[in-house]
Amino acid sequence: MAAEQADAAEKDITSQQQAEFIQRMKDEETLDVNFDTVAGLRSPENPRFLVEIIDTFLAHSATVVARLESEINQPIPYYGDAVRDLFQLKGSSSSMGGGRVAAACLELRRACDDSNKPRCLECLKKVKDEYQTLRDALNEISRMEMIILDQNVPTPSSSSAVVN
Amino acid sequence: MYQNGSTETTPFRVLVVDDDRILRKMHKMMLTRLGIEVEVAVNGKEAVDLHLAGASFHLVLMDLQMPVMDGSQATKELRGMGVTSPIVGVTAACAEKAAFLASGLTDCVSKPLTISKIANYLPAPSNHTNN
Repeated sequence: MAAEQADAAEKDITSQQQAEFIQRMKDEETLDVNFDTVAGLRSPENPRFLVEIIDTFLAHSATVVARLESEINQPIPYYGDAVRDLFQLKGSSSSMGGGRVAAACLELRRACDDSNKPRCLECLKKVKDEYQTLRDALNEISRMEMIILDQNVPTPSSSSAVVN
Repeated sequence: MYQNGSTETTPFRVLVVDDDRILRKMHKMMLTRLGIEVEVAVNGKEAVDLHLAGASFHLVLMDLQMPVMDGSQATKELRGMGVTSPIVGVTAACAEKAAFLASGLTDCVSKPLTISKIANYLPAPSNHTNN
């Protein structure tokens, strides 16, 4: 009985830890309120949705960031291709709650529009830095989510998430 | 299920057109949870081809920047085919919003998409347990 109670307490702590971590990420502005919309899409019918969407986003966005780096680092940057990739990264990052990544993408887009390579390189670094911060946060949330799912702990209800 | 005003309850069908797989997945889930039937297309040409094949939708959510055929061109073609369903643009490209609207959109909303942004184009649910 004592072991069961301790086990139950651990499950509760893990759920609480995830909620506290997410709030901390919002306080640091690594995540914004749009993340609540994504988290709120979890349901008993699709308990792994959050893990899946994070994994899909991170796999796809890593490819896009790598492409951006190649496009901007050309002797003459491929500005057109970079702008296309920036649209994608801005849109998906914003939808995942990565407002700072989206803002960095906008700055890089402006530099591309001006064909300003030095500014592009500066903004590219900002995009990569913000993306890495977002990536680390989402990876941690996904890790916590998988622990919670493995323990069959009910995930935070959608009513606790802000649905715009 | 959504009531369409008749005595028969038919599924409300939405077409999500976006080349970004994350956004297709998210938008589909948002709508599916409300009992809405969702089909996806990965670019404007697929959306047009679906309609040419006889598909019809109560609402089309159209991204702007897509390969093969973008949202503006797809919207023009759908209107040219006589499609009268609401077509709502969903775009992160704020600067191109006016041109996108001029292609025949009913409305244009900014990404990220939320249900509240398109609530006017969704019928009231037949029950009130949806969020």
